[in-house]
Amino acid sequence: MKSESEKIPEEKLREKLEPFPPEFQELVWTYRRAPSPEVLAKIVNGIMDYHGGEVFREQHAQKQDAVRLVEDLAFDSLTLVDLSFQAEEFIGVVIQLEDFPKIKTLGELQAFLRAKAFPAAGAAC
Amino acid sequence: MAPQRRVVITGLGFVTSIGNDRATVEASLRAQRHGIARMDFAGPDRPLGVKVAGTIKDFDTASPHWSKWTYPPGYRFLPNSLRSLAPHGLYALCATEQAIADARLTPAQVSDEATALFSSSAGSAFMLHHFLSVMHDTPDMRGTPMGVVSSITGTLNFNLGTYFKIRGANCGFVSACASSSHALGYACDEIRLGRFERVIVVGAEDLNTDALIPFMSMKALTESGDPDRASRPFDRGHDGFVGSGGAAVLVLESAESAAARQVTPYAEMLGWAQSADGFNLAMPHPEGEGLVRALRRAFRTCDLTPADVGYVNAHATSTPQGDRAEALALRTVFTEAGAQPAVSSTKGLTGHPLSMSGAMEAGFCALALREGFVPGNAHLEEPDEACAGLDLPRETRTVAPGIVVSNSSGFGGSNVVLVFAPWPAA
Repeated sequence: MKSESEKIPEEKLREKLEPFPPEFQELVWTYRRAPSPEVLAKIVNGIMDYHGGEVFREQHAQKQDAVRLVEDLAFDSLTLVDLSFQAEEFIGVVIQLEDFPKIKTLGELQAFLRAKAFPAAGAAC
Repeated sequence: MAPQRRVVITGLGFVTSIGNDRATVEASLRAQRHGIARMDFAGPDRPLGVKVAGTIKDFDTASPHWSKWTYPPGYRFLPNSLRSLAPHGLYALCATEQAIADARLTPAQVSDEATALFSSSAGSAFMLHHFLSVMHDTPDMRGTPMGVVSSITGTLNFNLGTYFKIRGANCGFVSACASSSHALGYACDEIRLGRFERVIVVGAEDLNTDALIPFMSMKALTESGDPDRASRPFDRGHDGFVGSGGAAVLVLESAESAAARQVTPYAEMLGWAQSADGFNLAMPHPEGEGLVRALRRAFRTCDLTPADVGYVNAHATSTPQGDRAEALALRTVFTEAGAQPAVSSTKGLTGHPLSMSGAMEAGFCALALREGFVPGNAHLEEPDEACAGLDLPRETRTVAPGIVVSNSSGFGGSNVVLVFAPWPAA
């Protein structure tokens, strides 16, 4: 996870959050003040909802963390790049494009980000 | 030589200042109900000379973020369909859905190898402005991944071709305000040549500050603040165009395909022609020489004489130079041949939606042909002297127009003339 000095400035974060609903914005500000695995998981689901809309909600209701980014949600390379930018801006974790072949499901995405953001807690999660 | 295949119009879709569906557009044309309203382009602290536009109702696309947009009920789009669109991409998606439904095409037909999509727009200066600002404002200039595909010229092709799974052909046309007329012309040729059974032709434009206000620097826009009189093509008081945007879509189809599908066409597209002025960057030839050539070529192509034409839907945008040049061209071609078709510019109602005007007005002509009316010249009080001898109806006439000609002209002296006829032929 990025250090305090590496975080995106608040003003810029506000701009980046503009397309998102208020409840999601609140989650990101909460995480910025007090990062926790629980809030991180909600932010990731919020990013998925932004990109997947009702398809994500339907698939998530059926498959939970087993929802597949490409096969179930039809995310393409542009969406994955967008998603990686948002993970960096909202959670402070960088996803390299070469990481994506290892991240096929929502559960794998959650685990990847959690392990990067909370390395000490990774084994327990 | 094999006989030429006949080309018909089987579907229409509209998101325009005078209506967001075919029925509303027809009612507006018949009642001469305009779509022009006051518009604040730069905020209350920066009052501009330009004060009105042909506004798009029931859509809110003021934000560069698709997640903030709203559109009329009845449409349903998922995030991955909207994320890479400009505002005019959303209008085009809606109008194309209308046209496909109107033509009673199935999803399988839309994405078969015999269906192509031709489109035209200027791209989106609004989205480009936004994404370049984000890019320049980010330390590593990485911008956003949707920046290119939502903004550059071709954004309609990228997005609509993907959304509708087009497999015949997918390409765009750029000739400023003649663009979507060029798209219709080449679509007609491709069907005639037997390369495709149908072509979905799309014209669309943003309507926002970034799309329109650059024309203010060219002194091309009216500074009238009166929506009821601002757009008055051919009138002595014309002093610049009223900008507009939206989307207009036509399905052109071979007559055989339409008959096999048991679809009743709106009209036949008899043919088209084009010419270039070779004169000036922005101004037409003052006597409309280029347009005269295009009209005469169109008549030769379609084996018609000026006397065969019952109605001309003029390009006239309400600029003095453009209206006069077109009026003189019409006098040269028609009046000097002893012909007197009705002439009107529907831009008095709609304003000027730039590259989409050809498709929009071709759609109006198709409606006029099927429903039997000739649109009038809204806001025409005293015709410019260049119009002497032309039949410029003030009100819409409830008569069958017969053969219809639709003109479009763009920067650099591009002229396109489209020719339509009633279907079935008389």
